Amino acid sequence: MLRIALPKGRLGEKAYKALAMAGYPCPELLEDNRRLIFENPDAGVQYFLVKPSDVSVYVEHGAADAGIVGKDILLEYEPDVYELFDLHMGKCRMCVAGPNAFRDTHTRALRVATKFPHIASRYFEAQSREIEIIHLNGSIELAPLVGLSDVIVDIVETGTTLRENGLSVLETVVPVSARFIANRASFKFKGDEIRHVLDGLKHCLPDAG
Amino acid sequence: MNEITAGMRMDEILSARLRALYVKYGYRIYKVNRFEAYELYVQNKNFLTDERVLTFTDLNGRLMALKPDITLSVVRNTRDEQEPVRVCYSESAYRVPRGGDRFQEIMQTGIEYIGNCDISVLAEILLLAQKSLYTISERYALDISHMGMVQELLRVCRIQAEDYPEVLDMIRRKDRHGMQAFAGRRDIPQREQELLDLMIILSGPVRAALERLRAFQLPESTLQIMQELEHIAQLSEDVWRGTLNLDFSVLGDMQYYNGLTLSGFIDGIPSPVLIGGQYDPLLSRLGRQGQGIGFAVYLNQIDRCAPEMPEKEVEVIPVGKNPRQAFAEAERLRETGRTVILGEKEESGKC
Repeated sequence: MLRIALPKGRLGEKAYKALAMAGYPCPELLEDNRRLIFENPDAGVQYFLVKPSDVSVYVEHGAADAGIVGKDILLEYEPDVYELFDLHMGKCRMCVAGPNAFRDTHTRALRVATKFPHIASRYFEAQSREIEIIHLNGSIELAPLVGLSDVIVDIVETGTTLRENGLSVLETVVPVSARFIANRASFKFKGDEIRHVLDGLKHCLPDAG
Repeated sequence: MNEITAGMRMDEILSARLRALYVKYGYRIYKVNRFEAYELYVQNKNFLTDERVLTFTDLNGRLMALKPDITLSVVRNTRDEQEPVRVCYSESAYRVPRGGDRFQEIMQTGIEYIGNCDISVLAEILLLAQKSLYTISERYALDISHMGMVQELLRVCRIQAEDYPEVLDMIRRKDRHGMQAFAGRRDIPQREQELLDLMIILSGPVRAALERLRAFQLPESTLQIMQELEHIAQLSEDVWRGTLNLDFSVLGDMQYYNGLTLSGFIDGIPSPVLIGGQYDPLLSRLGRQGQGIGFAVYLNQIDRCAPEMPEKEVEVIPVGKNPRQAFAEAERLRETGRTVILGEKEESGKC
């Protein structure tokens, strides 16, 4: 039985549909209920629905053999897992954004509000730019508007929230999309099953890879 | 379970069994100090999985560290001798595990060989690694790689030295799409892209994996390493039923490792339980001559796959009004191998 961790929400649903097409259906998963574990013994699969940022934790610690997770989470937490396939789903960008009129004067440390302190630190470190990280858990866009930070580092999908708050993208840090990941040990002992899922996904998502 | 192991935890039992195995192969038991001068780790921080180290100032003002790694201490504290140095150990290391946020005491048992690493030595190391894993569980897998070969293949693929960290990280994560994007950015020719791709997906029995690599035009130096690797695997497989897998995602730091690298897995344990490799550059950095190889078995997660220790029947002998008689009776029963405690009333239970 292959255990797959899926992120709750839109991305999880989309990824599940691809997995179902790939031969791993479990229709109960799309029903309106609050269950967290779904199983289809005939297809040899068990799904866990978890918070998106926890998918890699379940996989790294071996509670799940594989999972679907955003590249942003992999870059932020650097879990020790195999990153086997880019599903080209949930595409967005990790960006530095700030007020439309913002100019970095380099006269002091740049105040950066973000949910992704590790990604932000590495990005600015590579530019030798001194920064002060302000770690927030939500509504990041508010930080520069109320003077909490100069800029933000966050996920940008359409840019609507930024625009509506008078912010704009200053730099793109890295493109982000969903990845199929696997636990290193599971890859040794359930390698054939994991490769089978991968082949199914490649077949169903010919534009991914 | 005998009288001695009855009082031991499963990790202690396995540690004792592993040491007994290593002793059979001429490894002598070696004890390292729990503390080491901090400078040893500062100068070799890339050798460690995490550079954070627990430190304290000794009474003479010298900054000391609780050792985060055993190999460094063994290499530093053994001497160059005519004969190869073969030592085995069971020690605790103190470090922050990968992805962790606090220090842990990590029990590890392992071996270090310092001397000429010819084919028979390397084959014996692989044999010992497999037997070590088998000591823990029949459901094991041992992956090997070769840092020298990885370096040669990267040269064949025209990877520049400054790109090594990024490329090695992608190989370690089996990030195929990341590698494709990288190859596109660097204008790497098609055939070399295919070789990079194979380096990522390759994972299987050594001979079959090497055969796939031979489909590429490789320089003589690479073919020579491949031939050595095949001989080593053959020697080990001649005397042991297990399969060795070649998988380039088993990587060590190039500053320290130059040859064979090993990574062993047990079904049911999510991370490698055995890690090792040939570390000639480390020896050289520490002012030592020659070659060295070793591996460590990490026993801190062993409870995930080991059978639960059976509870022991305990009998209670009531002390009553005649403690002398109760003492004597309890002692007599213990001599017969039973577990007995003195109490208020006669009963039995488990502990």
